[in-house]
Amino acid sequence: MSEHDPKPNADKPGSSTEEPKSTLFDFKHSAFNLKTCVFRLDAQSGQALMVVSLDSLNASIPVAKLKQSFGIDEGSPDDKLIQLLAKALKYVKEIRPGDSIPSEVLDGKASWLVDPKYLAFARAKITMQLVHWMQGQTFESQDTGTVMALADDPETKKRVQEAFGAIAEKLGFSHDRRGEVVDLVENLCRELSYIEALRDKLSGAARRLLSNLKSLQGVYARENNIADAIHRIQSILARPIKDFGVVFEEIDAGLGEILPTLRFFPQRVQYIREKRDKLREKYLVWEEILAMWDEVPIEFCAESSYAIQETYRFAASRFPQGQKWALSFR
Amino acid sequence: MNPGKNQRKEPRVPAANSYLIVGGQELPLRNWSFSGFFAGPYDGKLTIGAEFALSLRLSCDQGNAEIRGRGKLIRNDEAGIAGTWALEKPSKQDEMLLRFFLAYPDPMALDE
Repeated sequence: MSEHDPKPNADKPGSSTEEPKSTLFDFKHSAFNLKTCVFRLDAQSGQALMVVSLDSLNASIPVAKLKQSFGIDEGSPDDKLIQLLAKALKYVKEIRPGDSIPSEVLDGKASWLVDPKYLAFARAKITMQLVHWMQGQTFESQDTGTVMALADDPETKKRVQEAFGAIAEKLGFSHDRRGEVVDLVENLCRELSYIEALRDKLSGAARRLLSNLKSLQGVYARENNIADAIHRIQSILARPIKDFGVVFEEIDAGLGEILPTLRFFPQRVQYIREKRDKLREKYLVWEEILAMWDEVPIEFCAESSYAIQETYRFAASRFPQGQKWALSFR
Repeated sequence: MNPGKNQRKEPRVPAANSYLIVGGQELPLRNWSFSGFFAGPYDGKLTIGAEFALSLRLSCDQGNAEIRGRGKLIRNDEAGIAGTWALEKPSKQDEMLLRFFLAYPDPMALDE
C-alpha cells in the first residue's frame, strides 16, 4: 500500500489466511460435548486447559493432550481450533464449545466493547492534536476533564475543520476527498478508545489500588500482620504497575504526531492493536482484583482486611519474588 | 482357578503423584484401573469386605482429576489396601473421561 493511500486495511492481518474459516469453536469430536466443558489458561503455566465438572469427576486437561488421546488428526478442523484456543484465551477469560472465536484472532478487531466515554475522550485528544498540529505545536495530553473541555470549545471545533482540509492536502487527497480524512480520523479515534479504556481500567485502577493501600497503611498501623501484608503488596506490585504507565507513555509518544499517524495509518493501527491486545491480556489477569477494590471501603473493616489478604495472594502468586512470606490474618 | 493367571478384567495403570482419599486419609495411589485400586500404606479401620466412599486425586501426564466413587476392600496388608471401586454416579461422559485418564488407546476396548 502506498503511503498516500492510507485506507484502513488493518482488519486483514497477514496471518489470517492460516486460520480456519469458522468463526465459532464448533468442535466435532464428542470429547468437546462434555457438559460444563470450558477452556481456560492455567494461571501458573499459562497453558490452555480443558476444565470439566461431571457427576463423579472434575478434571483439568492440557488441550495439547486432547489431540493425541482422542485421535484428532493433524490439520483437521478440530486440530486447528485447538491451536486457536491458546491464542484466543489471551483475549477472553474462558471459552466454551460453540463460543465465537475472538475477533482479535480472526481479523484484529477487538472482541470487547468500550464505554462511549473512552471514545469521546480519544476523539477529544485527537481533536486537540489536530488543532495543535495546525499551529505547528505538539499537544501534551492533560487530565480527561481539561482535554474534553478544550475539545468542546467552539473555537477548537472551528479549527479542527480547517485541520481536516490541511491534512487532506498534506496527504495528497483532492479537495473532494476531505471526507475520507474525517473517516480516517474517526477510525483512529475508535482504535484509540480501547487504549483509553485500558489506560483507565488497568493503569488507572492499579494506581488507585496502590493509593487505597497507602490509605489503609495508616488504618491498620497497629495490626502487624495486615500492615506487613500491605507493605509486601506495595513492594511486589509497584514495578508491574509502573510498567503499565511506561507502556502508555510509549503509546502516547508513538502516536504523538497526527500527520505521520494518518499517513501511515494501517501500520499505526497495527501498532495500536498490538499494544491493545498485550494490555488486554494483562488486564484479564488483574481484572478481578481491581474490580474488588472498587467496592472496598477504605476503613478498618472485614472487607478491607479480606481485600488485602486476597491482593497479597494475587501479588505473591502472579509476581513471585523468590521468597515466601507466611502471613496469618485474624 | 489358575493362580498364575491375571484375574483382572482391566489393566492396572501405575500412578505417581496421585492419591486415594478414604476415611479422611490421603494414601499414595500405587496403581489403579477402571474398577480396581491399590494404595498405601494404610493405617485405618476398614476391614475386608467393607464398602466406603472414596476419591481418587490424579495428577498425571493427562492432566489433573478428582474422581468420586464407592469402593469395596478386598485386601489389607502392610503394603496397603486393594479393592474394587466404581464411579459414584456413573455416566457415559464420566466413563469416557475416566478412560482418558487411564490412557487406554481405544476407549471402547474395555467395554464389558
